Amino acid sequence: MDHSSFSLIVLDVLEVDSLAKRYSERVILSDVYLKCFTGDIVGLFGRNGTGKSTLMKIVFGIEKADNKFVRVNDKVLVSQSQLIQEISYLSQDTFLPNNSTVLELIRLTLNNQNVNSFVNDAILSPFLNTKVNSLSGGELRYLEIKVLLNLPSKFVLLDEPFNGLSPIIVKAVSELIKSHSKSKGIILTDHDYHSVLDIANRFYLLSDGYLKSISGRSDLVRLGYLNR
Amino acid sequence: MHKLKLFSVFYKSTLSLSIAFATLVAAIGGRLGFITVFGIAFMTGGWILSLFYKEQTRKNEYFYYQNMGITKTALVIFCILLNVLIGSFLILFDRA
Repeated sequence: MDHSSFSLIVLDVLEVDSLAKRYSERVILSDVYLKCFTGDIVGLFGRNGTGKSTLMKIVFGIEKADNKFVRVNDKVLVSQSQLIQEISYLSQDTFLPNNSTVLELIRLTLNNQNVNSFVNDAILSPFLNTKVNSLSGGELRYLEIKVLLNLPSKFVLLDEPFNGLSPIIVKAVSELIKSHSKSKGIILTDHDYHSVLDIANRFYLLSDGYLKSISGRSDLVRLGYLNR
Repeated sequence: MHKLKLFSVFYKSTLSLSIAFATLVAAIGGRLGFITVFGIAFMTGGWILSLFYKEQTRKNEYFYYQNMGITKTALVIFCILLNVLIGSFLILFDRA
């Protein structure tokens, strides 16, 4: 997104500053700075074990850091209860309570608001009366992502949203993310780099504990994340 | 109101194990009477077992509630308080 073209629109901004994390002597994250505006889709790349998931968990407040500042609109959010009001988080593992039906879960989550527009969905509509624990992995992932994107939080962290999805669901998830990015700031990481490059407007590469702003695929090759 | 509903859904998900544990303990015995022993077991071991089971098998569900703006600490405290309240009520009812 070109922020200069939105000078009259007030954008919310999430800033992660001076974030540091080490396990024993191993530095995982070193002086990380990350900025995300509403309207942004930020793609976060990094090889396995470089700390992408750890970074997201720290920003969401469920993992401790050695040092961090998380700000939304210049207000520093310290406690987890403050962070989770502004930020949503898709974990790699499934997390929805699975003892209710899809429709019951949607009603509970949305507090019965806008349920009809939510369920007017070609992927979900055949499964509304199905128990959540009977959905396939792809259907469940789609439901989780749609649920998170419909929450009132301004920022959403998506940890491997495309993992294990069929091409049709990947496309549907990409469309969901793009449509909700108009009102939210979205940070996502996934090894399906084609999909990430396709939908994100800004990119970072996490390598050796450092987060580098990159321009796109050419930098991923230059910095060793991709082969030529 | 919405958050209270979410708390109650979480609490209900812990309830069956609490009740099963308290019923088992009360059935095994105790000279204090079924309801009193049930109440004591419900307000002590019941929530411990339920939350331990949740932690071992379905701890990712906490992410759902965190995404809904409710911390894990708040859920656990709510669960303990309600079990203690219900257990105390049963004991008082039985002793009255």
